This record gives sequence, C-alpha cells and structure tokens, in this order.
Amino acid sequence: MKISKSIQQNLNYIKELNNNSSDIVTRTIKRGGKKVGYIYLESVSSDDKISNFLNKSIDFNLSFTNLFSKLKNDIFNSHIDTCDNYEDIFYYLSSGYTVLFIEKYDNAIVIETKSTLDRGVVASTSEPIIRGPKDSFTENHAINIGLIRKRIKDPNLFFEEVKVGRRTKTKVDVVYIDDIADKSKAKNIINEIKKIDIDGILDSGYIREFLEKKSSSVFPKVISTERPDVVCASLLDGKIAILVENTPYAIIMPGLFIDFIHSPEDNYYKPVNATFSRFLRLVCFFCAIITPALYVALMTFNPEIIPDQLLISFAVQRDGVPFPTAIEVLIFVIIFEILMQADIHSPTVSGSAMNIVGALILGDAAVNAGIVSPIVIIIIAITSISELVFYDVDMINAVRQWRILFILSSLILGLIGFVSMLLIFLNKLASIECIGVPYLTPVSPTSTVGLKNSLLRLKRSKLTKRQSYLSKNTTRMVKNEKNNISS
Amino acid sequence: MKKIIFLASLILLLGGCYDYKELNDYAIATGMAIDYENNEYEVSMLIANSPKSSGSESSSEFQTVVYSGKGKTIYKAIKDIGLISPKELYIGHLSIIILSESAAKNGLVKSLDFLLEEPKSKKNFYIALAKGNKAKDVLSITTPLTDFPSQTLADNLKSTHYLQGAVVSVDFNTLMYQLVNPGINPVLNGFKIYGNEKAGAKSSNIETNLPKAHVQLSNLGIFKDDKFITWANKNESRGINIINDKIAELYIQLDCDGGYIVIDTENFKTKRTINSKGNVTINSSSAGLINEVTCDIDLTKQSNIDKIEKQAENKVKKFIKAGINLAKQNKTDLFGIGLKYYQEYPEKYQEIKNWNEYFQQIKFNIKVNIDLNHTGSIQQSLQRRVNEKGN
Repeated sequence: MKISKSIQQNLNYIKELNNNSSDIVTRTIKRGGKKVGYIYLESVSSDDKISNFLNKSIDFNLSFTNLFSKLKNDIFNSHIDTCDNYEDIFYYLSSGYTVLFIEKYDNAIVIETKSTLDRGVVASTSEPIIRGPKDSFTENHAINIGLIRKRIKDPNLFFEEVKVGRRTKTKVDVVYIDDIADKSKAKNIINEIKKIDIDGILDSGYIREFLEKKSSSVFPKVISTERPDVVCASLLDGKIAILVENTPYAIIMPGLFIDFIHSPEDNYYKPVNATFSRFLRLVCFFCAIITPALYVALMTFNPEIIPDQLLISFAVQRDGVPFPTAIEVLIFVIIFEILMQADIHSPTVSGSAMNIVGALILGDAAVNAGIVSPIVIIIIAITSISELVFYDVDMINAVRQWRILFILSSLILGLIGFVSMLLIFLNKLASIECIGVPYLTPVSPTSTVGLKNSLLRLKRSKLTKRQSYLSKNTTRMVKNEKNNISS
Repeated sequence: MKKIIFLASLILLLGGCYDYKELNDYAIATGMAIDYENNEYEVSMLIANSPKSSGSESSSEFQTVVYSGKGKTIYKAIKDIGLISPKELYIGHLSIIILSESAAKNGLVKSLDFLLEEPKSKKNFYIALAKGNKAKDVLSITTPLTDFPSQTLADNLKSTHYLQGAVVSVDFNTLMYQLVNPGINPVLNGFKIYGNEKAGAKSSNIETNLPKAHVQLSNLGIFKDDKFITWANKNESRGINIINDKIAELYIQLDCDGGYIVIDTENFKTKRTINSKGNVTINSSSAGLINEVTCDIDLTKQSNIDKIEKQAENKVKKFIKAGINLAKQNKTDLFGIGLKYYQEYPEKYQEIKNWNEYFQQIKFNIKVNIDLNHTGSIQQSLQRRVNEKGN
C-alpha cells in the first residue's frame, strides 16, 4: 500500500500495523513552518546514529529530492534510500532503519541506523583447531560476508542474495567464484532457494533441508561449518557456499563422503601428517560403524575365527552375564548415546558428576555387578572414540544409525548378515548424489585428480589441477620453475 | 516396495537366528586325548573356559578341566562327555590331539575319521603320541609356564621341533596327506610324563618351584600305513628328520681327546634326488658354529677345523644311516621316497606291487657337507688357554 501525504496518518498506520508494539518510537518535529515525522524501532536501532543523522542534516526548507540528495552527500557511512509503500517500510524498520516522512510528500526517506545486535568475531567453539585461523562466523550477515571477502579479494567472488521467509525475510546469500564454480549448479541452487515458500528461516539447517529434500539417506550431503577459512578453501575448489542471516553456520555444496574425513587444519599441516590423519579418520569411520556388529557376529555365530587365547578369554569374561551378547551391546550403545546427549547440554558445573556416573558407575560397577562383560565396555569405548573424530554432527548421527542397523543384522544372521549389511551400506553410499556429483567421488567413480586433492593431501606445488567434477576451470596453479624459492 | 519389505522381513524372521549360540554356552575344548583299552575308546577333552571361583580378582582368569567318555566309536565317547558337561562341547579350537600307543596301534584312521568328517573342527591342530603313558594323563598334567596343558604341549611341539632335531610337529592336514598318498608313512612325535602323574594333574603342581610331574617331548613313533609299529631312538629320530628335511638346526656333540666339542648347525637343508631305479641320493648341507669346547685343541689351525668338519659330517651320516636302517627293518617308507618315485616315474611305480617291500632294496647315497665358518666368540678355546698357562 502506498504511503499517504499526511505524516500523522503514516505514523498511525505503521503503529497499528504492529499493534502499537512497545519498541516503536515516533516523533513529529516542527521547524520553520515545515513538519517532519520519523519512526524507528528502538530495539534494533542505535540512538547515537539517529540523533547524529537528524541533527547534522535536517534542513526543512529543502524539497524532498533536495533533502534526499543532501542527506546522501552528508552521511557517508549509512545506507540511504527512498521508499513509498508500507510493506517495505516495515522491513526497513525491523532491519534497524529510521524512516523519515516529510509533509506533503508521498515518499519516505529510510536511513540505516542499526545497532550491532551480535557478539563479536570469536574463536570457533564447535570446530576448534590447533593451527590455523581461529575466527568464526557470527550471527551478523555483513560480518560473515566480510570474513569471506577479506580472504578472497577477487572481483569474481559473487554473493547472490535471495530473501527467504514470508515473515522473517531472511537474507540468504549464495556465494561462489564465478570463473571457478560450475555456474549452472549455482543457478540451480539459487532457483531451489527461490522456490522455498515458508514462514521463516532461522538457520542454515532450514535451507539444507530444502536442498536435500529428495534424499532419503541419513548421510549429510552438505558440509556445515562455522569457519570462514573452510568456506574459502571450498570456494577455491569450485564449491558453492550458502550464507544465511542470523546464523554462524554456513553450508557448502556439494558435500561428498571424502569431505567429511577432512579436518579444517589439514590444509595447514605438513602434507604427510595430514594424509596420515585422513587415513586414520577413514579407519575410524569403519571402526565406529562395524566394531560392535563384528563383535556380536563373532561371539554368537562364528567363534571359529577368533584366536584360541582370545576366544577363551572372551568366553570366560562373558560367563555369568545374563543378557545375550547383542542385547548387552545394544544396551551399552544406547547408554553411551544418552551420556553424550546429557553431556552436550549440561552446564560445565555438572560435568564432574557426569564423569563419575559415566566412568565409575557405568563402567566398573556394571562389570562387577555382572550386567556386562568387560570386553563390551572396551568395544563401546573404541566405537565411541572413533565416532568422535568427525567434525560434522550429521556424520556422527549417520554413523550412529548405521551402527545399530549393523548390530541388528549381525544379531539375526551372524557374519552373513554382517556382510550383507556391508553390501547394502556401500550400495546406499554409492547411490547418493549431491547436486549431480556421486557421493563416493573420487573413489567411485575414480578420479586421480580428486584422489590427490581430497583423499591424499599432496604438496601444494603438486596440486596444479582442480577436481573436474567440481569445476570446469581446472587450472589451480600455473607451475613456474623460475619462481621456486630454493633455486 | 511394500512387497520387498515383506519379503525381506520374511527372510529375516524365517531365518530364526540359525546357528545362533552364545560363546559362554560352549565348553571350549582345546585338547583331546584318545586311549584304547578292552576294545573301547576313552576320549578325554580338556575344557579351557571354566572360570575361576567368583572370589578371584580378575574376571578373565580361568581354570581347566578334563572330562572323559567311553565308547566303541569316538563319536559315542564324545557324546558321553555331553552327559557330564553342562555346556555344549565345542571342538573348533582344538590345538592338539594325543593318542595312546594302543589307540595308535589300532589304527589312526579309526581315531581320526570323526575329526575329518566333523565340519566344526578346524583341522589345523597337532597330533602326537603318549609314550608309555595314558594319553589322558599327558593331557592332564598342569604346567606353570602357559595357561593350560594343551597349549603347553602344542607350543612345546611348535617351538622345539626346529631346535632339537629329534622332534617333529605334525598337524592334522599333513597327517591326512601322508595317510592318503601312496609311498609314504607317517611319523608322530611322542610325549612322556616324568614324575607322578596323579600329583601332576593337580593345580598344586604349578604352585611349586619343583613340579611333581612334567611332560617332556620324546622321540618319534613310526607307523606303517596308519598303524603304530615302534619308537625310534634319538639318533634314528634325527636321521628321519634330516632325510625329511624337517630340521633347521641340529647340534652335534663330538669326542675329542679328554673332552667334547659341540657344534650347532644352522640352515640345515636336505635335498633328495631319485633315479629311475628308485635309488636315492641324499644331499645335506649346513653351516656350523662351534658352541662349546672342553678339550685341548688348537682352533686357530685350519687342519684342526677340517678335522672337526669331517667328524661332524660322519656323525650326521651316522644319524641318517640309523634312520634308514630303522625304516628298512620295519619295512616302512617313512621318508616319502615312494611318493617321490610315484610322482617322477608313475608308470614304473605301478609295476611295483608292494612298495614297502621294494623299499628295502633301495640304495641310499649319502652326502653331507658342513661348513664351519665360525668358531664362536673366542678364537681359542678356554681349555687350551688354561692348559698353556699351566705350562
């Protein structure tokens, strides 16, 4: 609806629109025979900026257009615009703008006077690293964009903004480097995001749900990170990032299986060490999924492949435990999950009580009471520790679900069930696709360049090519022998 | 989709956890002894996983128990053990089988057929004989160095068969190969109890520094087909093992004036070649090292070294001849000469009616070569130095 020429009418209308909410501030000023009215939301605006803007440059003798250009010339560091309908005005008000109405003009001047409603840039808490940049995204959209901008000073770094959410009108930015990323994929993602019609977007998790909607898999198909350096490294690989207003978590597409065995600091370590860590995480992935199932299969169906000494030790340890092996394992898998959940959400003060419950009561006392055999505690410990090497929470959850499926299959058919489940598992993994890239790339389909880039971590000087499944522009580095420092 | 889920659940549910068995419901047998008396077999099983009393500190401690059953067949005897044991007998992890002399005389096949047919047995266990004792007693003697008796026996057989020269370890597969193939007869190692077998079966036997009884590896028992004939002595055992190329190391003790010289040989290799008449050339070679000298001999002189080499070679030849003599006396080809002849000259082998008879006419041409390339840590023997000082 267009705004009217009467100041009072405008102010009243906006107030009513928001049911006279307590944080709306309106004022009408008369000076030199001219009347102006202004309105802002004190909850999202900065008082200093408002008085500065009003004091410094209000000259009521000017006409609307002159005033607008004068304000534009006088106030350098704020966004100034005009606006002529109520819907936009309320968006501006919520974003921390002040709206200026001038008598007899059916146009309003909006000027950005927002206060900083966020914490500063602090070290990442969910992805801590030992070596490398420590800053992380915040809830402030502009800062988040800035954290990327300052790392990649390239005109081809594009931020395409879409406002999503009928009520929240959240800014969602699709970020990519124009001449590296596959533009058609970026376009697809933007179209998908534009199609989202929902009341509100509060976190990037909402967006990923819409982007992954076709998949029934529990495995994550996008990387979720709060580290700008991870986003930038992905952008330079040709991936596409999505920044969502009011959340520190950016998402990166496509997220392939191999990306989840990476750690942010792999890029900052010596190549050999990073490669070793990646293989270790790959081992941990399988350890976390199959160890309990393998134990159940061997103990209840196929004891013949356990070495003599171990077999007798296992058998003696299990003596007197009333539950079947599989139930015993399942009980402890679930107890560990409960412990994890409790630990994540408990404040640090109750941490020591948690430790005592976890370590003493569930471990030692359960063994002494004959509820569980010591070897099961060891199995669960190995499994749980292996699962915790991953950064991505969704990956951990996926591992957890498959682990239970594996235990159930071992419980029913022993090693045969275990191997069948392994086949189903690999089949399932291989059939996942993320924006046109098979999930197991570069292992299957095999890509040598991909293996060099993602499974191994070669020296930078050897990584001259980008993965062709991510980017059409595959030249990462031009080899120039003359620039070699050592020569 | 619903159909697939229905079918999948059918497969899972109708399977009904086939073959499911908790590990602690098994009585895990690690050793088996077979005795034969009054036309009846007595089978004893060493069960390793009976937990120690609940007062024990570590829950993974265990003790062993031997249960026996009797029957005309091995299977019946084993089933009888099931009447004693509260848990199901599990023979997948057998590590050794001890046969008494009488059971061996009655034929190996009768004792071992069950184990070959039984799908749950793993067939990589060792087989040995009890020399002069009941096989059950050999299995029951407790020993301090390893956890349970059967493991002691198996480990002992495994570790010393390379070192002593008189011992051979035979596993089930090898034995079956020897029984089934023509022109070869098996040899099995013997175990003998020293001391009081009743006291040795008690757990107090391992709580003292001087065990009341122990089991020791003895010499080879020789077979004709699957029937036990007699025991070889130590030299004969060595000879058989040398010809069969079953030893890596062999010590040789030589006389020299007023004392002895002991040579340890390494990389003992024997090659056998056979000609069309069946005559065999045995070619043994090894490197030797002087380990102990208790006589006055000048080891810096090459002539003396040569003399020792010659002496050692003769001694090894004596072993080999003793082995061959034993085999010829008993008309049994312990060396697989017949098998080799069969493989190289199959038509000629067919013409020979009875290989074990023919075996007696075979001529053996023995060549032994020992190189003493090391005289120990000290060049001159201590004995000589002490004697020189006295002068």
